[in-house]
Amino acid sequence: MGEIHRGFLLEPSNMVESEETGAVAKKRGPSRLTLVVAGEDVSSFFRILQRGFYVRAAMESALLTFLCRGLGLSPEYVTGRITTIFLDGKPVDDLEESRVVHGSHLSLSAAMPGLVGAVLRRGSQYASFREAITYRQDQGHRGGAEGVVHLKLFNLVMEEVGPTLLRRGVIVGSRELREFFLSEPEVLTACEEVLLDGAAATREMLQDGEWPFTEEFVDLKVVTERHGQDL
Amino acid sequence: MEGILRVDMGAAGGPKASVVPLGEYAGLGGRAMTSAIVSREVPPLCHPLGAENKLVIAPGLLGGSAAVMSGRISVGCKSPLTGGIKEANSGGQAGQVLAKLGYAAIVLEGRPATDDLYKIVIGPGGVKILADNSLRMLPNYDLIEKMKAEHGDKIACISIGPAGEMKMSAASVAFTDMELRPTRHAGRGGVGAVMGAKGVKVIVLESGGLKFRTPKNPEKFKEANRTFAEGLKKHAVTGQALPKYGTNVLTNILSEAGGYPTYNFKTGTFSEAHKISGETLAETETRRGGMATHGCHTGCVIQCSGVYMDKDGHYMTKQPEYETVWAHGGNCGICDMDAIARLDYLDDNFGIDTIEMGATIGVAMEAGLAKFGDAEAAINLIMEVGKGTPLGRILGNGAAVTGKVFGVERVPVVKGQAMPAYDPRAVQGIGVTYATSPMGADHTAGYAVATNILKVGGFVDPLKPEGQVELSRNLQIATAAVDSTGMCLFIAFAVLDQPETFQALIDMINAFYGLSLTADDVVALGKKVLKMERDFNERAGFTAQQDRLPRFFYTQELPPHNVTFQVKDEDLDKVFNW
Repeated sequence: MGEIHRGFLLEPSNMVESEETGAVAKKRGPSRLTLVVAGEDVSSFFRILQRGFYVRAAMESALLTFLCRGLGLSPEYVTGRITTIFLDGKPVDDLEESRVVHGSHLSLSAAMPGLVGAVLRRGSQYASFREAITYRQDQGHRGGAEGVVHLKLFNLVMEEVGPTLLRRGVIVGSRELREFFLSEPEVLTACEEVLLDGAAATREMLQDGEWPFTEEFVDLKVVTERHGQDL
Repeated sequence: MEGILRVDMGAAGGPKASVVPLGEYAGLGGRAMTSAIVSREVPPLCHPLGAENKLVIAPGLLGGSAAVMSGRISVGCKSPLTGGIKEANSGGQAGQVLAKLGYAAIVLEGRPATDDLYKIVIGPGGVKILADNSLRMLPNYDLIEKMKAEHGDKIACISIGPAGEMKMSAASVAFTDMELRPTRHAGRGGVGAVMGAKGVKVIVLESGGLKFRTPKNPEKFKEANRTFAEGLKKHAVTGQALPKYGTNVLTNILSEAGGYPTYNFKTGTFSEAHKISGETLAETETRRGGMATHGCHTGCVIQCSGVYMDKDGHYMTKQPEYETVWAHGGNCGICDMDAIARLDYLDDNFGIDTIEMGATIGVAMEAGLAKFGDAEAAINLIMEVGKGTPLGRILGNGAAVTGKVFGVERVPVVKGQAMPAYDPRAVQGIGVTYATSPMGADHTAGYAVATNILKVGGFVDPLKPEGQVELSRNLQIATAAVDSTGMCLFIAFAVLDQPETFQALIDMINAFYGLSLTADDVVALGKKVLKMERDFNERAGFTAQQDRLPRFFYTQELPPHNVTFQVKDEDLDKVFNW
């Protein structure tokens, strides 16, 4: 896997835009949650990757460009491993023609079993089976220099790409994150350290009592060691 | 496999067994064997539960050999659910053991003169047919424990649960796995009801001391087997995704594609899919001390099965398959994996097809018998089936009957059989197979893919809409052929991408039997099987009108893509034009 181009994927900011109202305001409470876990416990967070998270994209781009420059994946990995892709819920065949814009929903998967798995595969010779739902690029783009992409990772791609993205940091809905911790309390129990905006915090702050995040989204990082990390 | 074991359950003086030569059935195995016998010997207009119907159980051509993946077993009859010919297929150990015992098929014929329930024991020393009414209404798990106590653990069992004894049209035939649990099922089409109508509760196959069947050309066979196994192991699907996550790896994908039938085929996406996905299932199994990677029969190298434990580490059920997780999960709005595991166990124990049961509960929910998402209510409905209450008997006879009784319009069946976990409005080519397969709505009927098979008979442009009909035809042909070998259909994914792996399969068959089959011969076998099945259905009264999807697929748009089924009737009628 290559380097993520930091100019391509924007850093978390102190400003926040509400998805519901569009209003932009300075964040009121903590907005960054960093969890330090043992290596084998990173997989406990994979359900977040399946359900979906956000990354900020610096520009409207071809899908291949987004995957390589934005997520830091090698072209060989993209073409060889990520053989099933959905863009806005539709199976993708052409990585160059399909474009990622603000608000895109993108799901990434390895090759899937079954006839339908073969049908949904990128460039499948059985693509006619899903002609009605195949992704076709709109001629009118939504445009915009930067935006947010909703991303889901599945199966082998989740395991192979997920830890790097979690270490780098992802954006998760605050409500969804809280629900996740409530439904999987053992995940927090396994955390070695909890930091809110870089300051030490306790697991109890996330489990019991008042949820500390007041904004709609939380920047989440899951790392396996503190050294060298921007927490 | 030298002979066919015929068991006349209605013979004068009591059931009688005889071993007859293969005769006209020589060279056939699996689905080719069951469909040949049923189409030639069963009057198509007979009552499925009557004496004239026959239940045929047949391992594949390579069953009992050292060939990897060769342990599947076929069960055929006239189906009480569809009224047409049926072949239902299962994993488990029985295929290997039956073939090693030297039988190309067991045929249960006639009907007992009394209400006695029978156990059939088949071993190297011969066949015993014993009346044993102490087995009456035993659920499958209890039954197998009893068989272990009586016969030891060097056995493989074929059995029915209470649903089969009650002759319900959703009843399955269970096969024990490598741990001697009744977790693998020939589920579709009510084959368990036919076994119940024959008065047979269990067939015990004694497996101690049996040897592999010997190939004609051992060296070539060994080489082909090695190449085949390597092909499976190196492929991303068969070597990684399936062993790691099982078939349920498809849940996230189908939901994302908008083709995951949700709330009784009302929408195509389930917002809680991630809670019941294969990824989540594997992680839960591993965390609880179960197994995420496990083979259902000796010789399986894909190992897509698993073992599911409860939160305290106790066995709950085998790893539920994609179809089961969908049927009892998203189709019913249920996102509790433990509840789905419980439903899976109950299906296995009562001996019910999980697809038919899940679809039926979805229809029942639509009818207002329970709320979508109410797992406890779903469990209670299956308990009704197991007890054989009047409501249970309605539900146990499938989605079509349930829909009729409760006045539901949206009933997802073809030829009376419930549709599996892919909505045909999103993946229209699957709809072509659902509509036209002689089996009824069946996702495995057009499943096997092979690049060189598809090129035989002409190249099909996959980007043209009309390619769907030709593709469905070729897939059904290829599947019918693979079903006859005893090979697990999941070999198809490696075969799709790696022509050398498909060639290795043909080489194995040739080396085993001393033949010179080509891909064309495989195609010919598949066509022959389909022709027999279509012919039977025609004589049973089926017309083109049965090769259609329910009306609502043409009129009700499926969110999120808001599509309807678009394939024209005249195109569906071209599928079997060859």
